[in-house]
Amino acid sequence: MKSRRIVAGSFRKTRWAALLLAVLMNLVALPVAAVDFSVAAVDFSVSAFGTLGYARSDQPYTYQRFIDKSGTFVRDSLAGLQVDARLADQFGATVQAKVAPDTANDNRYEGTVSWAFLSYRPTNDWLFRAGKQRIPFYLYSETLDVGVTYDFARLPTEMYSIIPSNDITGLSFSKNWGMESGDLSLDGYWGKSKLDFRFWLRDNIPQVQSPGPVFVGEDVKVGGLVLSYKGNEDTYHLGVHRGIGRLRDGVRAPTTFPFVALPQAPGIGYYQVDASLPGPGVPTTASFIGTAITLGAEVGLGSGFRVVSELARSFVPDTDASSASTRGYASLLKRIDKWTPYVIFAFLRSPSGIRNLYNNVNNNKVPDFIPGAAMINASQRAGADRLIAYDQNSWALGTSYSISAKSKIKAEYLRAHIGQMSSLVDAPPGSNIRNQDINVFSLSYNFVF
Amino acid sequence: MSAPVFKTGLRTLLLALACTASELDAAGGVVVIGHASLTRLDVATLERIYTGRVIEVDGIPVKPVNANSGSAVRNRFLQFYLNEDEDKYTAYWTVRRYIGKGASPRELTSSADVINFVKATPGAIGYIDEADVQPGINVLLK
Repeated sequence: MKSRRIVAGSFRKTRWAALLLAVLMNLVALPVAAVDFSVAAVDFSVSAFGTLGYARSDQPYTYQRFIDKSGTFVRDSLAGLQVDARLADQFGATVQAKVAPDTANDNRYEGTVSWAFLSYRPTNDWLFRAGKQRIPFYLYSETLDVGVTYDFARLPTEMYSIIPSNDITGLSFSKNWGMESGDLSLDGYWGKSKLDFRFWLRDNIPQVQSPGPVFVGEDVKVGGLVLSYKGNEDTYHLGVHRGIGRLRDGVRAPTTFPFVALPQAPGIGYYQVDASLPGPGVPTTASFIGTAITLGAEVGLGSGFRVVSELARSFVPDTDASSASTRGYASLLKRIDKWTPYVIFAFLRSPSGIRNLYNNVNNNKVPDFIPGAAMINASQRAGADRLIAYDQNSWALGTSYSISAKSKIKAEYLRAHIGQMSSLVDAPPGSNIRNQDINVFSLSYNFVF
Repeated sequence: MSAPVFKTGLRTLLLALACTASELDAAGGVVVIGHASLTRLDVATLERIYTGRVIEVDGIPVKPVNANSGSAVRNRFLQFYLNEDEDKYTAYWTVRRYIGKGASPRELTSSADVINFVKATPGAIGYIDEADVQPGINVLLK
């Protein structure tokens, strides 16, 4: 308990630090715009962005790492700085750094370099980049940290969580075809990334695990192709992405948990969720190969109405312990002068194999007369916690208010329904969060300068 | 006292109407100028240059410059050549900057600055008020 209080204390400090950082940044920003200057024939342009966001739910447990009934600034607040340099007619460089919640620690903010790439644009229609850049997974991949560039209070988490981070270090190209009605482009990329998958352990098992988050590092090599069309008001996006992931430090990942029947009690048994439990052994793999297909469209309907929708399907064959899923959202927005109210429906669901394995392991109990029953039963829930499984959807009603082209206020009410399970929820010790609703209210101020 | 005031007011109104009509005839009274190495442009190419989608014309790398944000000549340029307003144009470049495709064209304060830059910089393109056009300036579009 003591350590939890210390953590909570430092967490509050972090919140205030983030809040102050964002406010100070914006106060500084008020009288200025992006700064352009030249040094030794190189043109530089310095700009900054940030979001000061507050979110609060009606539940005592946390949703999306940070949101609970006590409210948080951590989920949505961030600040960043970007420097663009035009090195020569065809060469440029971009560096973007940001301060945001650490992807591998719930209790601190971290400063990261999201982008650091050199670009070469030999003609109007070709663009090559080398360095740290962002995978074009989604419609708003590149700008997802820059809240001013979209109207949603928060990009639908159901969609925007295919992988924990979509920054890669590698190479990319973009070929553009200018058409009378718009631009057609083909983007390709290949690179490496270090991901941190977060698992929430619900229960305290003395000498085995403490409740709380666990982060598992994975090194990923990923490549893909994205075809997109951008017209005056419309954007269409089709992407195919393929990657191979390996857990860090040579750790092998389970592909399933075999059922071990107990000879003394027919029909009763347990899932071998760890090699330390008796059984045939946990099948493991050194690497996963995953494929994701992404579709997106933003279509103007006239009279200020707009539809934005994305859909993704990810596959990881030969395993039931992966983050494979089907996910997406559909939204309708209407611009009314400076206001843009919207409604969104989003969903996220794991394949049946993963959900069944989660349910089977999570719900499995051996009777008390079995020797070591308490430990076996605890191990089952701990095993379930190490699976990424989803069955949820949400409705959101919100609006943005454009103060200027460089700042927006956004407010949103979201009602998420957790079906069988969701790895976006941190369930309290001893509990299962299923068939429950989470109501979330969000308010944010977004700016660039 | 009221008669002279009335006459002055009428004269101002007529002048304003005349200016407005004149501006409408000449693309908002804004003239697009460029370095001597550049040839005439069409509106579609100009729009693609000022939105960062074209970086070279006839093999010559272009260097567009804007007037200061909020200035009258810039507002008229955006309206007549790009069919945009300041907010939409700023929003466009905000997105473009944060998808890593560069920053908006550099801003210069006065017509004199634009003229000097355009004359001295190969591939430079700018725009000025029609009244500021001087002999010898390479007019690309008006």
